[in-house]
Amino acid sequence: MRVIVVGAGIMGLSIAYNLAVRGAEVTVLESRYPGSGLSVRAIGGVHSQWGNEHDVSLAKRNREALERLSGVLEFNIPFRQDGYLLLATDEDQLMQIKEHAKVQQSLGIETRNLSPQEISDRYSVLDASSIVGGTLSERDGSIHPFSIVFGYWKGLLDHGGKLLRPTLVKGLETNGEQVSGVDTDQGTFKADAFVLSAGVGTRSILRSVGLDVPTTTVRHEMLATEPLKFFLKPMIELYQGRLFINQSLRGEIICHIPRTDPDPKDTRSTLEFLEDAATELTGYLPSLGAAKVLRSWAGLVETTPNSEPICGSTRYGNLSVALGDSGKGIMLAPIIGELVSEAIMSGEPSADLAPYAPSIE
Amino acid sequence: MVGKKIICFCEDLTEEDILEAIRLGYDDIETLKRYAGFSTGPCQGKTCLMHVLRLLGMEKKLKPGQLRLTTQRPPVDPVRLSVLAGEKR
Repeated sequence: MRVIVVGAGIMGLSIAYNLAVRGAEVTVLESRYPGSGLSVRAIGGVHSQWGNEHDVSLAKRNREALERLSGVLEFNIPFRQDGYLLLATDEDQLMQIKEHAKVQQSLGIETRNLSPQEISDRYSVLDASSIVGGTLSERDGSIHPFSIVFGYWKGLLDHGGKLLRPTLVKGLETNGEQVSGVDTDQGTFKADAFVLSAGVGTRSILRSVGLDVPTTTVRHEMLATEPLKFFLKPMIELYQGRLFINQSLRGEIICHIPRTDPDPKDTRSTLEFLEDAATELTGYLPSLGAAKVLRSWAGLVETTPNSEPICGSTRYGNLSVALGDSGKGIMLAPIIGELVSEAIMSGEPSADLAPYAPSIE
Repeated sequence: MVGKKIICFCEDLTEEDILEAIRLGYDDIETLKRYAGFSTGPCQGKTCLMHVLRLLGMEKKLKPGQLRLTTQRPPVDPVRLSVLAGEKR
């Protein structure tokens, strides 16, 4: 089977690699460079602390896949399992993360509740005065985003796949019931099956064949400080996904905040973000005041109404999509790559993809 | 150290490291930067980027006009978090 995958982000590359492993003849079309959308801008948080059984069970399988990934791809993909700490600053947040923790525990995830005192005792660098509690999953953590992109790219090539760049996709061609080809600035590509995983570019390609998805674009901004001696073990998430703090393997403190500007178009950094991030960082980690910011960057994330990915086939039977992972791409890519490729090759994915079925009109 | 040509002092990369990465297929400036790590240390590319572009141009037989810079990231020089937090902190 010949398959064309549009978009060489982490999701597209994982799907392409998994298709190639299962014997497909795969070509990936990328408009810029591998990972150029969001994947190389991500900070790499990986955790299992979701609130429903489907997400948690996939996250569990995904974590097992990540633990094996360096060996499988024969590429060094540092996966630091130093813990993922969700902190609550009010009782509503605390109640929710505790409810979610019960779901995780029932499925064998090691999540446990921490009181403010336990948080202060464990992490003396943290100013926990505004923290009312937290949950910690000790085998979660963060993964190096560039290496996972490069690892899947190498794996794809090792299994006979191709990655063509830069190749800009203009639209799809159909015969009414099936997609027959991809129209690009390098000519038309024909195949038996097609996968769209082009991040913010996906929607305009879907519209070329009269399809649409209910996603909105959110701009996220990130900064990195100079490398510091290692002092911060877990990755920290606050305000229910509105602030992320991590110390990378290089020692940089990374801070990530989704922004609220409506209908964002560009990925320029703003001074407002630097000020907000500096205020949060020096508030929660008071010893960081003298640390210098080296750089800041931004990325556009396609988000869905329920913050769940959209993955699966469309009304054109041979066209699948994988997008709108709402910034969860890095932490879901291995498992979604397996499931989408199984669905395409055999029609029988090894776990239910229906909860992520495309609401495409 | 004899014979080594250091390209990036922040990340300790030699000319041979860069050439090897290009030959492995990380042959555009953006992927090369993320594979090798130059331009992401304290100098933010001020000392290394021109050397890497020269090597990339020679290795891929590109003309100066075909070489592109990486996106420059603010701030221009490192700034303390306490300065950015300013009156808010």
